[in-house]
Amino acid sequence: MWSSNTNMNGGIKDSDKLLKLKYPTLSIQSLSNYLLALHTKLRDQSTNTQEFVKYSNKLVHSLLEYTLSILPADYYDIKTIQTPCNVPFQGCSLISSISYNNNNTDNTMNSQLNLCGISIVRAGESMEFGLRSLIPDIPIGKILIQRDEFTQNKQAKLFYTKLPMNITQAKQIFLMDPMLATGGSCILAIKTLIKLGVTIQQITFINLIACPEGLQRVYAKYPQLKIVTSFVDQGLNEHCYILPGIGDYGDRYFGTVTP
Amino acid sequence: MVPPISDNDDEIFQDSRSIELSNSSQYSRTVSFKNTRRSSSAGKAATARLRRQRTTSRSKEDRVFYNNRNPIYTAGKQSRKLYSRCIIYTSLIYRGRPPWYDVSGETKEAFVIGICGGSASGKTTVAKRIVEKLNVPWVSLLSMDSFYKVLSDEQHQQANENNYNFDHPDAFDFNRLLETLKNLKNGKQVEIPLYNFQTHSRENYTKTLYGANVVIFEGIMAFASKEIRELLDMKVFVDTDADIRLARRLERDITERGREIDGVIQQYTRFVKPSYDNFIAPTMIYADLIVPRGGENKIAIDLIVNHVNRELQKRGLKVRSEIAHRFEFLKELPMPQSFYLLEQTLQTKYLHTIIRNHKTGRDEFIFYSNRLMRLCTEYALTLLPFEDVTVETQQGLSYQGKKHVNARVCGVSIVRAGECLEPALIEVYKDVKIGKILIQTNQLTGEPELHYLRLPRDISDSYVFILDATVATGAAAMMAIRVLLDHNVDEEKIALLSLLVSKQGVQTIGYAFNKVKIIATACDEHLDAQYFICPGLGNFGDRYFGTDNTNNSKNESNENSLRKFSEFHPSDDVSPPPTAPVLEFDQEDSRL
Repeated sequence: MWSSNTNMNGGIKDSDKLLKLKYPTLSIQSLSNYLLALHTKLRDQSTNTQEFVKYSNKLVHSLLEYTLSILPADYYDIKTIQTPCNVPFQGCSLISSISYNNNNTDNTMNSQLNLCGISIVRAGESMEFGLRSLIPDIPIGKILIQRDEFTQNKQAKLFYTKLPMNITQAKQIFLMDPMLATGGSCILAIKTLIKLGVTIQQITFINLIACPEGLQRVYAKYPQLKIVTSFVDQGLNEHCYILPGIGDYGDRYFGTVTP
Repeated sequence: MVPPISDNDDEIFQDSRSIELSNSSQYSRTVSFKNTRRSSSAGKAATARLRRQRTTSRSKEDRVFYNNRNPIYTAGKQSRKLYSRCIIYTSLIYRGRPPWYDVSGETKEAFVIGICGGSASGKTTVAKRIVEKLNVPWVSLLSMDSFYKVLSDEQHQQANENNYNFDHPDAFDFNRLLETLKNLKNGKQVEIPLYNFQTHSRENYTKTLYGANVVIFEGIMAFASKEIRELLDMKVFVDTDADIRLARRLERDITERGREIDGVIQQYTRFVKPSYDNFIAPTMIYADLIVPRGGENKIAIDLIVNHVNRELQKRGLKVRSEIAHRFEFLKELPMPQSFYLLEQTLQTKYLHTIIRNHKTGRDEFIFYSNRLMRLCTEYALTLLPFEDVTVETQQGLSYQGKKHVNARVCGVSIVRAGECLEPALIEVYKDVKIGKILIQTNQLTGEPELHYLRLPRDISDSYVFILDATVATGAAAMMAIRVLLDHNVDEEKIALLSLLVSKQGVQTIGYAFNKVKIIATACDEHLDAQYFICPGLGNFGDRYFGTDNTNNSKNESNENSLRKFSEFHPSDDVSPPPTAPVLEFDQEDSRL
């Protein structure tokens, strides 16, 4: 028979509730059985690359839809439109990612960046496709940060940035990285952005799987950072892998894992 | 040779008029055996044909004629050519199956005509004439020949030696016949056994007969059982003189079946005649109408047809207008519990704003409606059964998760707008099977009519998602649900998926079929006078497929005809009939 758990909000764990109390700006997507089944597929070590990509894309799609759905009301403009039946409909519209102001005095176009995405290379790039499938014209910047495997606590190192113009004026920046383990790369990415003049209120960190240690470290540094995550796992092991986790996300998504 | 029937799943509803136009010699009795089913061992069959000892009145050709679910009158000279193809006739006056259920979704019983008469009395001709004159597209013909008992080896031997009496009530499996006829009368889909007259056993495959508004049942022992007589709404006895029947039988058996005159006469005197006197003639007293001279008796046929038409009109079901009437009572009630509305956030409102806006172009309309559909199908999947599962992660730890219970899932889209939801469903559930139903509005009555359906074979034990982009009055969705129920799908396993529903549609469906889940992304309060959802989003199919010429053909001459259509088929869930009168499909195509 049909599943009895029909409530989309039914899937919140008790530990998640505590975390939400602890960090008011943390949003954890409530997992329906369907999403939980996708998570299960991702975590299964026998899932091959092809399946992994498919299920991860689905999860990311749903996570990004969730992110858009919890944007505050000032991201939506109230708008009344006419339906084809010639009836007015009170609706709303999401602010466009770039708005153009025609400056009449000197006849130039000023563009205003509203929404943009930034992916942390390499694993974060797996979420770009999902973002593009929701907002096709969203500008996407990149930050290349790698964990330096030779340092003792796997320190993150910044290699490269290429960001949209006027990023400091952006209303919201979606920073994307599927895994939040030690939080090193996340902190470094935010540090880079803040150095450029972005404020912490402008950043939303979108993340597929987090762990309490990572959350604690990031929130200790940036208490006002908004984090949206799909699942908070148990913790980290001594090699800084999330447990139970899914292994190295980038390797599994891009198929570069050496058997 | 390809068996003409078994692979053809399409249920074809057709109007006999078109056949008259297309095939003038369809009723000719010139029968050739070569084109009938003989899928296995052609050589053996050839010898079997010679010692074929059937004693009934029906030619084998006629069996083929009945083998199609809904009869296609192609018996005759052209049949060989026709069997290799599956032909769908749609008449010039385009008609589908009108509703066969009332507003609460309950089926009305089919009108069953029983035709009895001696061997070679012309029962089949009468049945054909009735169908022809009735001009009702949904008629099922059931012949008693399918219900001969399976013979034991000994009896089989007797039959081969011309010693088995096929003209006796004991030769028929009345239990199975009664059950089949009961189901057929209740509009259910039934499996008809196929009797093989060479082996005197049933084929291991059956033919499926779909419920119809009129069922014609004919056979020599049609009135022999009391239970069966009680199922018949009208009993017709075809009374043809014995000498004429013998003459016909001689002609048929000798010229068409190549049998010896002695054998035929011997059989007639030993079995056929006593059987008529003992079992068939006495049942004449049960008949409502006795038709002398069989099929040539035009007046009698006219009488029958008029009576049936009157009866059909009496039980004529005006679902759509009834639905509107019924809503007056329903609208005070709360929304049914089976209604699942996607969580209403600014984001869903934003998506709806785009697709509802009449200024939205096609590319945006498609993009944003696809997004909504994805949300809708993902939400629907959460209602499927799940079970706990433990997997091992790369760190060697176990992870407690969930997985879909191995359940068959099937999507049934209501052509055309419902088809837009198919990609979204396939994307989230990879091995979903897709069936299709074509329902269109009758332009004169405004009633929905079923024109085509093709469903997966194992649909009866699947979870079924009915896909339709919008639900206005719910008339089309109700018909689709009724079709599924008639195909023995459990009501609890049906869910209706839609982007936009009207309150009225939800209440109509929800209270008629209270176990059917209705899943939608938005619900509008009202319908306007033309049954459009208000504020709605216009005709979804037209906007998605770009067939609304409103933007670029304001000055074209077909504007009037377009307007006419929209007057008649106001709702989005029912689209105007196509204009092409005849569609032909290769059987190969239809099998894909």
